[in-house]
Amino acid sequence: MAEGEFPVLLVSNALALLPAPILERAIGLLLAVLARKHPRLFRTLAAHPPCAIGIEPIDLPHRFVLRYGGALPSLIPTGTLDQPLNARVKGKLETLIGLLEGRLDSDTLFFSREIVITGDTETVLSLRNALERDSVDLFAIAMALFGPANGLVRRAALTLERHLMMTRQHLIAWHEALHASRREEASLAARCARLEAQLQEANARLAKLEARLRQRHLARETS
Amino acid sequence: MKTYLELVCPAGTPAALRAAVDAGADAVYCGFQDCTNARNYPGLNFNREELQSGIAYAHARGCRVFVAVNTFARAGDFGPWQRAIDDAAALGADAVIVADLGVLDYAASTYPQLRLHLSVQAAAASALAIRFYRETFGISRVILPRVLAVEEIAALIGETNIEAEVFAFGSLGTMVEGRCYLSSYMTGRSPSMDGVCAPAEHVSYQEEGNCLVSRLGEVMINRFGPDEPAAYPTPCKGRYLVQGRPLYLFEEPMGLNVIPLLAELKAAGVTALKIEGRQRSRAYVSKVVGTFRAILDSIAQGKPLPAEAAELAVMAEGGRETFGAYVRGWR
Repeated sequence: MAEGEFPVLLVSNALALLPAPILERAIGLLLAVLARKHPRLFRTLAAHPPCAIGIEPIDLPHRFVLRYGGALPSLIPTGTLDQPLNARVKGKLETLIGLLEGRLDSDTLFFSREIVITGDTETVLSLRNALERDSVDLFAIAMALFGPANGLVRRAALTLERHLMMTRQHLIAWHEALHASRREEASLAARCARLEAQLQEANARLAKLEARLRQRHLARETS
Repeated sequence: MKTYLELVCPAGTPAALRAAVDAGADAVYCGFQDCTNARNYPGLNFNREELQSGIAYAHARGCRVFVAVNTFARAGDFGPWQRAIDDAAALGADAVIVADLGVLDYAASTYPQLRLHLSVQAAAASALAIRFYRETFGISRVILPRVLAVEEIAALIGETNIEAEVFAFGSLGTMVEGRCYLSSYMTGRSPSMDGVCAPAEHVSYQEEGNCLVSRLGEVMINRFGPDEPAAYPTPCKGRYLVQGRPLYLFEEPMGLNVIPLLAELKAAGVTALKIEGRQRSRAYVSKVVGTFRAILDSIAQGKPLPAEAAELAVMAEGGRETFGAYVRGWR
């Protein structure tokens, strides 16, 4: 894993193990550092009408409710999202962190359905645009909580992340090997989808060929 | 290195402006935080201080900044448009992008040294219209509507001998810009008057079973199946029931990408390429601008296209790309 990236495997494993009250306390501390480092972001959020956004990482047992507008923002872990919410955002933890840090393009993720946004779009769009203005480095902010020991903790976290990644890759390889012989024939719908994708690709290639032909024709005419 | 085609890039936030400049934009276009520009979405655009520092950042790196003041002024309320032109001129913008006749007249008569680019919102698609704008207001460049084929662009440039900027990548409007009132019909707000097509406060998405349903106000715009890419809820790209069958009535959601047409556009006399997407993230800006920069530099040096040219497809709306109206024979 490259320096500067987020150790998402380590964090998602740690978050899955933490009970909600401890998680809530840890998030509170994280928000306090975030507020110190990004005062403009917090001013923008405070100026927004009060709202609640449900955050749903699909690979974690926890759900979260983000509240801001007027009072200081809060991010509260919860088991379910059945309370009144303005909007909900759903996706993998890694994707949600990438969006928070502005490393990923939200529209691309929305087109590919890697994130799902439901409810009041204006609220989510305002939040996205507020985050876009600041470059939040969540890992650095989390490390700041460890004070003078942050360098040591950082190195340990990155080492653990590398080990977790290697373990995951091995598990995936074993899983593939075990199931390769038992893989069923693809369904008719999947085959149709594949054929349609191939047809689209062929169409695109044909269009490019046509463009190249026109280009050559043009070059012949001008020479 | 000599510029093959000028690269004009979007910036919805100061962070996106810096990303565009750092990725190799020749020019960046942006707007103020109000109804005077056609991307008036919540939390987007620049206040006066942000634009001032943005211009300083760009100029220090040899990049120009164009300010879009390209909506149509409201009757009896010219103030916001006048202030936008005044401030763009005072802050050192390299050009203003304008569509409205009154705003053009104000800018041309008050700031004769300020470069004027005719916005796509003006929908100037004939030599007569372009000549009128040049002779009356002294426009230096026209941003051509996305309804023209490459041959028509070549003819227009030949007849007018004007600098032409064309859309190269991004979301594609199928309607004639500045003339579309579909969004206004459904929500009371339109890109031409308020700077917003499908304004966010009217947009909602709901999951219904495995499907994602998008609505604009009370109107259902689309229902995406479990494996279908999603798209913006813009009325011109909606899937409507036609005789009981759900069909894309105007156009399917797709993104414009002209990379295979760059040589043709250059041969047609085009001066500049515009990347669409002021409403998109700085990650999009970095990726698209960086890729186009690499492609244009490769072409200028006679090298083969870099591999990352193929990586832009995933960023297209609906997950699919098109040449739009540039190549009509195929359609």
